[in-house]
Amino acid sequence: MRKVICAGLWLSLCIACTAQGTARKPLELSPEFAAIRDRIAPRSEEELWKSIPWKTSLLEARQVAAKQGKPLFVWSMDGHPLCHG
Amino acid sequence: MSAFNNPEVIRMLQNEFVPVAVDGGMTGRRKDPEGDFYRKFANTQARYVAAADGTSLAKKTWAPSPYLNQWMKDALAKFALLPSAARKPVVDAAEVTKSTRPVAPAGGLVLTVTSRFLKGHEVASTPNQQYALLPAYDRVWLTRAEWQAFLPTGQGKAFELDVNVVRKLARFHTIDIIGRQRAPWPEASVKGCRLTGEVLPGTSGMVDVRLAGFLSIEGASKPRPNLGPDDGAVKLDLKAHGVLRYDAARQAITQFDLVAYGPYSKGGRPAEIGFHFRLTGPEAADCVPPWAVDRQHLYGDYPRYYTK
Repeated sequence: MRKVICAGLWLSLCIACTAQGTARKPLELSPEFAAIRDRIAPRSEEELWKSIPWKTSLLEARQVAAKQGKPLFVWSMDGHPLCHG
Repeated sequence: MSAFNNPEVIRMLQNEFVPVAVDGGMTGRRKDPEGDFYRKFANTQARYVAAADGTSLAKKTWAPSPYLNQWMKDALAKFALLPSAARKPVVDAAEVTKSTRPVAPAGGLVLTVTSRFLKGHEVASTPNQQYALLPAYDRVWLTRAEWQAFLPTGQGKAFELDVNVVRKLARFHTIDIIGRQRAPWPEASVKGCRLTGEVLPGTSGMVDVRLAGFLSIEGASKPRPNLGPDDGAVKLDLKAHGVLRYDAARQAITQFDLVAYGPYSKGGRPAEIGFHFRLTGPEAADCVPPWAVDRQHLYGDYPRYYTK
């Protein structure tokens, strides 16, 4: 019985190791371009607006507003507001 | 977005309103239920509070966030006085399907491109220089045939990416939209663009590719009259580098990172600008159509977006 349990544990360990081995790491940019990517990326203080659950369809927002009995807050710009940080 | 960095404004938008962001220039022109509903309470770019039946409660073209709080509270008070039929109207659930908003091509690939001035943000087309320091976002919609042009076709290790698709990235997605939306570069201003791929050693089932090349723009900044602001002559020399991973079993690109950056001259003023293309995510901003697609959808003479 002990042998069966040990064999089961060993098999599980092998499967786990194999799965980990096949999980590929993301491809890396060269250091020069990775640094530029990091400079372009939004900083945390620039992303507070993302905590607002903006909808982008006025009709979907209307459905939710009608269901929940809440008013719509509509931010309208010439060009999409969510395109600007 | 800085107006929406105020914690109380964020709290109210999270709990007491249904917040929605729209391109008013596009939505107001739509001849569909979305356009009809928008025109009930809106007529220009501004912030509005409205009930779900279209009753207008407040409009403000601009407000610093300390005053936005009170403005929102006043609008909530007006909303509370409305009859129930206005606050919770019966809405046709099928009207969402009648929207004419463009949708991403079936089987296509959606990328988000983030751009930012790396130097010389003073050249940004915005009256408020604090916005010039912020990043801007756009989406890239590629048809299945377009994104497949990013993949190697033979057994060779090096290959050339379809120049028309690379040209699309250059023309429509290296535009300076920081502070203000604008039209794509004129066709004649795309002086050169090239991306090559190098297949990296990998395990079976995956194709890993390293991308390298350049995107070069020089000339007029707008394609024809009435298609956005004119910045005069522009010059943009971007070197590009990236990686992509294709999962053959899923028949999908599962990683895409392309960075392009370099000097940018606008009306003779120097700057440096960078762009990062990545697979799109679940955020609301990632769901907005590419600006050029929206424009092409409504203006017949707008430059054609898809190449194949």
